[in-house]
Amino acid sequence: MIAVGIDIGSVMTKVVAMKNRSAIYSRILKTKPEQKIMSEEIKKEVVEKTGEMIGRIVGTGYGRRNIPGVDKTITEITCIAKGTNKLFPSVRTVIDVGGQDSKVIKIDENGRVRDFIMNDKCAAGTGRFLEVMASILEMSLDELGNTEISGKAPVSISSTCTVFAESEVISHIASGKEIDEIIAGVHKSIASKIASLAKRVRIEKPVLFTGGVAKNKAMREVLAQELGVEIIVPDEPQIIGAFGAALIAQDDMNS
Amino acid sequence: MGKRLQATINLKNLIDEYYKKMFRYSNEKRPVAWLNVGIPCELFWAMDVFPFYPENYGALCGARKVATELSHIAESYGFSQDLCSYARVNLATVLSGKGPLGEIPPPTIQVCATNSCITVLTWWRAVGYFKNVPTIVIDTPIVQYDSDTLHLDYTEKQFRKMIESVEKITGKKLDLKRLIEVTEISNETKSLWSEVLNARKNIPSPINAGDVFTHMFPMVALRGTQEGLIHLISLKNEVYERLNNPKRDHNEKYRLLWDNLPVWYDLKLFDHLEQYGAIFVTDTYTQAWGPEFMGIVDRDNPLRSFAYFCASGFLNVGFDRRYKLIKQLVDEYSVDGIVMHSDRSCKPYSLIQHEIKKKIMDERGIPSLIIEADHSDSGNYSSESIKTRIESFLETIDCLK
Repeated sequence: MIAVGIDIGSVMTKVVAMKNRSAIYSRILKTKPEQKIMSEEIKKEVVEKTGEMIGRIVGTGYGRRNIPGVDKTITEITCIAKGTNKLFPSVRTVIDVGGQDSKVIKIDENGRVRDFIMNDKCAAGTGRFLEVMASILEMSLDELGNTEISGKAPVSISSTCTVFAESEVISHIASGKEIDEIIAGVHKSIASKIASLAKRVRIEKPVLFTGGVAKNKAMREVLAQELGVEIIVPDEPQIIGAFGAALIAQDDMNS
Repeated sequence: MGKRLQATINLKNLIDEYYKKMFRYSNEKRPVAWLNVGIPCELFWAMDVFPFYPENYGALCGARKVATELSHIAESYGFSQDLCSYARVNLATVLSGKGPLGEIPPPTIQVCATNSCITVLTWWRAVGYFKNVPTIVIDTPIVQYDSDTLHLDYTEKQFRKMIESVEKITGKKLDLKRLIEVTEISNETKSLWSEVLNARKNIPSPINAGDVFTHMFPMVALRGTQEGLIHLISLKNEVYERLNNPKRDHNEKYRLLWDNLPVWYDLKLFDHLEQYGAIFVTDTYTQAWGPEFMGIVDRDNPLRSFAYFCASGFLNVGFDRRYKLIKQLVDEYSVDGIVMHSDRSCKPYSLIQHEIKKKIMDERGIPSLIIEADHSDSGNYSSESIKTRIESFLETIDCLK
């Protein structure tokens, strides 16, 4: 019998299957519009790949209510805290930046959420901002994130609105600014937005950076600079919410 | 809980009758005054001048989900989208004749007090300009904690002058005997309101926020009227019947406090949260019409009482007084957590929420969540992300319990 955590995010869906509190299967796939059908396929695949029966499913992420047969739905905040506490027990603040939102979560030594804050209903400070910028710079997200920006003077992008920032970037391109400096500016803009969010809840060290945007190398550098603290990034930063959901499913199965 | 109170359902009728009466006044060439919520309706009912509250109208447009469309009309006339949505909605109706009631008859006179915000001052002046209507402003300097004799003398004096002007412009006289009758009905109405609010101290609470917020309409506009009093009697009776019913639902798990105005176009949010056992058992908004801020009118000196309610209004007092109310509500209503609506349209209400959040955590260990929305304009509202934030907050309360 396995415990399964499914985290349906706006861009990516993450799945973790767990046996005796150890992850035995994980998968990250693009979120499909038909989330119910996608969830059925995921469940089938988990059973096939692990050769185990599903004991309990916990759903999280914005699509958490669209999983047929889900035993419990828990928000990402609690799942990330739970997953973090298991993998990085000393961490006190998690900054999670996903496709459509960014959140800062403060956790105590028992993995309990002490406080959290999420971005306003706006794409600034989220993965969507990077996607838009990558597209006008005609780069992939990986290329954008792997650009060497240290030592580059970032151009100023003053608008917090993604659409207005887009036209600022276009005018920088038109005025012949060096691409690396524009990329540095793009990262600085999103990092300063996230940092101001984080400072509102008075961050405590150590700080963990998770979510799809944490895979972006340039972002990690700039965010650490903006916050003035070192940040830890897990090997697979996207999966921690699904991992936490699976842990909750496991706990429920055991009790 | 689930079911709305019959009194809440009956409100629709009460509101319809109130607006019909306004049209009747206008057709019969009887005077209509546009007032902001700082100006007591009792004075105007006593003078037989119909009191219309544009802020109530803004809430109505929000609840009927037409405020965003009306806001766009106001914006097309050049009003900024950063202007309060109540103002935008009202100005849109004034300028275009559109709205849930159609064209609204212009006022005979307008009165506003600056005790809630400075926006009303320019908003009333704009209506005065467009409709060529005299506008009286009651100036109420901000009070640090509570108003002193100077504040009260200053406000009372302005009230006396205002009454003289209203009498002159409308031709109606303020009969003191009639005023006392009206204030007695008003006092009774307010006592009933306090009893309704107090019923929520019980665990579990017999009612949720949806039923309470909607009753701001009679509490703002119908104090001192028979129909308002009759409605409050039936509301109070129904609430206490429910409270004393041994078979009532007991699914209350989280007792929450709501700070600021509601999100009028999403009152269903409260119903949605009920499935998690989250019940809003108190709020600062309806308490602003409760015993702490709007007590009993002194029948020997009603103008002094009105001056006090106006000068010491909830948004005209400083941090300490606002914090005192929140702390008192947290204690008396056994609150587990606070949801603060940071309202784009009501900045004076929203400004100090971060400070209150910190202090109530330090002093009472009570967590708060700040959500961003607007009371009437749903243009920037994302219902799903608000729900996720509140659900996460409930999980946080579980952790702290």
